[in-house]
Amino acid sequence: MVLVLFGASIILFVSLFVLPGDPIGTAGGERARDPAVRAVLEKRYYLDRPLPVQYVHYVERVFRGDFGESYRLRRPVSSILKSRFWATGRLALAAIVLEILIGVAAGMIAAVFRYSFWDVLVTLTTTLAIGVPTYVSGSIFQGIFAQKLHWLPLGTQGGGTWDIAHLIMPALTLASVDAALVARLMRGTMLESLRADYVRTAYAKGLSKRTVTLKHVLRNSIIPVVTYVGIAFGGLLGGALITETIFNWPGIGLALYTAISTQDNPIIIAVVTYGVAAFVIVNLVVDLTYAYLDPRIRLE
Amino acid sequence: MRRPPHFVRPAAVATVLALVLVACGGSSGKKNSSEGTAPAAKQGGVFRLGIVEPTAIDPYNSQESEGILVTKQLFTGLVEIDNATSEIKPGVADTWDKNGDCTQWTFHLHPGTTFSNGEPVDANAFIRGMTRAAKQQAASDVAYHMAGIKGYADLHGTGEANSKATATTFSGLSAPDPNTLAVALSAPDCEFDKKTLQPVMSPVPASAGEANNKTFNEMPIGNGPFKMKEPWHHDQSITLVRNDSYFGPKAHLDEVDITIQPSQDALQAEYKGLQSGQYDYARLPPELIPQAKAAYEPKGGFIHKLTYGINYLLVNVVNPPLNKADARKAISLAIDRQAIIDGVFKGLQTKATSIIPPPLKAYYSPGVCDSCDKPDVARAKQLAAASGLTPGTKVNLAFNTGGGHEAWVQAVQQQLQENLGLKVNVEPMPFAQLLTQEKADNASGLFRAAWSADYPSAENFLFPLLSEQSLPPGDNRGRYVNKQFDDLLSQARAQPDEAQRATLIKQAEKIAIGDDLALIPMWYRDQYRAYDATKWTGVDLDFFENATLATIGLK
Amino acid sequence: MTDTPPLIDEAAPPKDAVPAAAFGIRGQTQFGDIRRRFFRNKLAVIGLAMVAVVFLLAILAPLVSPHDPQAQDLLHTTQGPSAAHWFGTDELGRDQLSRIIYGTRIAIVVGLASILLALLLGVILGSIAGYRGGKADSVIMRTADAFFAFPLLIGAILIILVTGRGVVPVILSIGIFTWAVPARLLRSSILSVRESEYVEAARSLGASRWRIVTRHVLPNSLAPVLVYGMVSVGTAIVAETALSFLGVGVKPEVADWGNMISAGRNFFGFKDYLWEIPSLAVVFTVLGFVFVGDGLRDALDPRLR
Repeated sequence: MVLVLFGASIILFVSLFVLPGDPIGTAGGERARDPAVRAVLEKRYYLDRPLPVQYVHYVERVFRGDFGESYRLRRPVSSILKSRFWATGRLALAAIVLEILIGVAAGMIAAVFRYSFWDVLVTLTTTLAIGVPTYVSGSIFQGIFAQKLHWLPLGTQGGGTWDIAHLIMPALTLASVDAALVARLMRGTMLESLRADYVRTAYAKGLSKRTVTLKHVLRNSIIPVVTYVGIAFGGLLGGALITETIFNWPGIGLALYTAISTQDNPIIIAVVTYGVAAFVIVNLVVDLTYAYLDPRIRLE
Repeated sequence: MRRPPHFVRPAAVATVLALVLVACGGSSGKKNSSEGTAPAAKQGGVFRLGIVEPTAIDPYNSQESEGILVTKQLFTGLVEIDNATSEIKPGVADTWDKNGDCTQWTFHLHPGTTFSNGEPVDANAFIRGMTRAAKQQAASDVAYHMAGIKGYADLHGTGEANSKATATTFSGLSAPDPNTLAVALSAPDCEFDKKTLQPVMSPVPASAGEANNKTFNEMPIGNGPFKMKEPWHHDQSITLVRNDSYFGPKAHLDEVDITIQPSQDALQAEYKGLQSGQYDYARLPPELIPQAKAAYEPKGGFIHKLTYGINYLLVNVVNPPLNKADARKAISLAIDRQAIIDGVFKGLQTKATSIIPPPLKAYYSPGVCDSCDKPDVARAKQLAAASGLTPGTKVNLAFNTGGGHEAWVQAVQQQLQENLGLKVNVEPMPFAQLLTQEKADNASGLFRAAWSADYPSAENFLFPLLSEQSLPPGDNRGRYVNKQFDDLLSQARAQPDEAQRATLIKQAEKIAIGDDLALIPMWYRDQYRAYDATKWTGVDLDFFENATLATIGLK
Repeated sequence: MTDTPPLIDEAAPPKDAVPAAAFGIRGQTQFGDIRRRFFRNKLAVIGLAMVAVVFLLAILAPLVSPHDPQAQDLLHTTQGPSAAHWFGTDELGRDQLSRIIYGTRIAIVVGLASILLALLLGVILGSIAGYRGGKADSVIMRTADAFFAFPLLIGAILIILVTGRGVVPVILSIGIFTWAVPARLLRSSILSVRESEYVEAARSLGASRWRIVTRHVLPNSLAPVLVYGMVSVGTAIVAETALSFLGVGVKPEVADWGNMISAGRNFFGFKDYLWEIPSLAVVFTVLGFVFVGDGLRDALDPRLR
């Protein structure tokens, strides 16, 4: 796992520095940088050293919590990204909550009321949701809820942590595809579980449909869903690039996009490495939870 | 060049829109229906607007219009610029004079003015500010404005391996008495006073310390009409309050709330903010300008101004296929600028027939580019054939992404392909990459470019873009070199009489643009803003294309 | 990044699946079964029709488009839908309908090519991992993990920053960051199949390893991979349009739905048809592939339904 992290960061590092373009050659606008200033910055950022040396310096500073300085804003990356982590984190959390609530509920309904109107509705909606890319669903939400109905604000996020009004559209957009997949997954596993022998036994024992569903089937069906949600969360944390771009959400995804456009390498490295790390860690947690939930599985 | 705002879609980065109003034809006046007849502003009020995060607000490194917006309200320099006439007028300096060959300037400061913390604003305050920014370790991106002052290289270094920037004082600056600032230049520059308009030449109090003093970076203390209420909340807000100890006419506003928004779709966000009442003033996304005009002009809240900038195509004049002037003229004749302006920009741009724009009235030579006014396909084909630009020739057209240039660049591509049969390779890329591409030894073809003046001087267009001294690492990335042109520019710099200077400049432009067409002008720079005129008066755009916060007040 | 749906093991056969081939029933009958089940599924048929429409448009584009998709008309930019231009014109006066039609070409080409690339890589590497096991297995699977963890969009953006924009870089980047899933699918499929009895039988009959892999193991392991492939063409199309939307996809002048949506969003709230219509095109196409993929999965193993 750690290897994955290092590997990814090395690939990233190398590719960024072999990219065409001189990241510190431009000052904050459409202008070439003063060569005297460029010389100073080159020294300051170790850009005059060979690549492996730079990488070593970088890793060393990371362990001290120093992710370098943004080339464009000339401020420490860690302070720039701090507020942005939280912004993306809120978004990701909201999205996960929505995904779980909507996905699990919908999947359960579809499975329990199989072949009924609800099932068909859920199946159709989820399939539809998978087919609609986030930049489309985001634009549509904006068009309907903000532009036409004026229910929700279109402007940049104000408000603070509990500002639901600004949070809900991006969170919904982000959650839509995953919620659909969770619903389908939930439905599939529940259907399988419902067919299983132990369920028949439980019914034979006289347990009500409700008890069987909630106590036994649900518990067993939830495992793949947990796995999936865990994976999705890790990815979400990486900073849903498109959603933040569309909604102007000041998270790390948007920071990354901006950084890529301006070749602000320190930010790119920090965000992507963080994204990969988040993914890796969350997966680890998921694996552990998996082992906890299913006694048949133990980590080797 | 003053930096345009970050990642702003067209408005800043070149494709600015011009509304060809009734009084068009190169007039450079501003068109603002609320100025002049505005009722006297009342005291008080909180003005709100949105910007993207600036690189710096500390004058040592304040570079793009967002940063300058704040810095220029916090600090007043030696001179100011009159918005109506675009003339330089006194700032902290009451009067100033220069010697015969413009190498020695003396500024007589208004006595008794102070910073908002009580420290005196004297000649030493200016020396302090300028030295602090010029030092090598400050790595200031705007220090180069002071490059003409003696002793600059000793402070700032030159970037070459053997340059030693060991000085700790700025030898060209001195204060013969507390209210007199003497500046010695290393070469004649008769427009040096205009250069002091730049925020980097602001005075700073002793508490400013060195350039890397974080406290001062986050909350600069200045002598301007406003002061900071609290430190800069990065990515959130900057709040200004009126400075009641300002030595000039006091501002009307009590407070200015500047919201910092993410730079993606900044213009859309600003405009939506204005529409929803979150902001009182906004820049406009080019596609929505007609709509904004219809919505805000009737109430008097629409500003349109032709500013000191130019949008053009940079050409590499050294490598084929465009290394012959005739080839460049063929390209220019094959482009129908007005059609692009009408179609893509809905007529909101002003076609450029020169590099020096109309606001510089004395220096403006309309039509110096004789291939810019109307397309002439027949003649274009002639010139193309004569210069080897045969049909099928591959020509690159590179531009920077994120500025909203996709549409017009494609229009140019289409026109060149149709009219001259060229194979135009459109190359979008991030800005840093574009610059590298332009400087490459094998660079060729066309590159989208824009330039905004740092001060109201014609020389500020010609010198950085076309002189030999500005070759890379400077901004003359097309690599144009012409001895006669350079000579004329040096003469102009050393010419104290403005009329004669204008003649020299015009001659120079005739060579570089008229004869050689080293850069292909496309359109000038039109700026549009909208604001809530039901509440506010005195809203105008200053030289740096920012709102004139000091004159805004409640109706 | 879950802007493109991550692909999960939905389609992996349950552990106790007994492939029809175990009964020696191959060829026509099995295929006929699958076909029948597929066509009985209404949604699948609809999907097939949708995909067919897209394919047809892509092939017949020059014949069907009313205008040249690149023909600019600077006098009539951003005009709404009209008799002359059913879908209106874009910011350069180009006919939207023609551009939508030509957009099918990019969608199909990129969608199919990138998934084919991913499948190719995935199948090869996955079968090596699954069949050989041991060191090869862990090396390949670790690499797959690394690629899996790396967000698709970011990776694609980085590759394209180096290579420049264009159709081929887009295909490559999507393919490179997608092969991990089919590799994993195939590997687990192979793992479950290779221990089954008929393979043992084949081995005991003296069949060579190669023969076992190609004649017995692969065909039965491929099913979930193929289903994945079909559904992911949709995902690949979404990814391609997302890249163009972000400005790092195909070249800007190409008639591509992502480009059109990105340009159209500038006119958000003002001339919404500019982004709404290409969005519809994307959704239509993707859904078609999703329906077909679902149908295929249900047809191949009805018990999963």
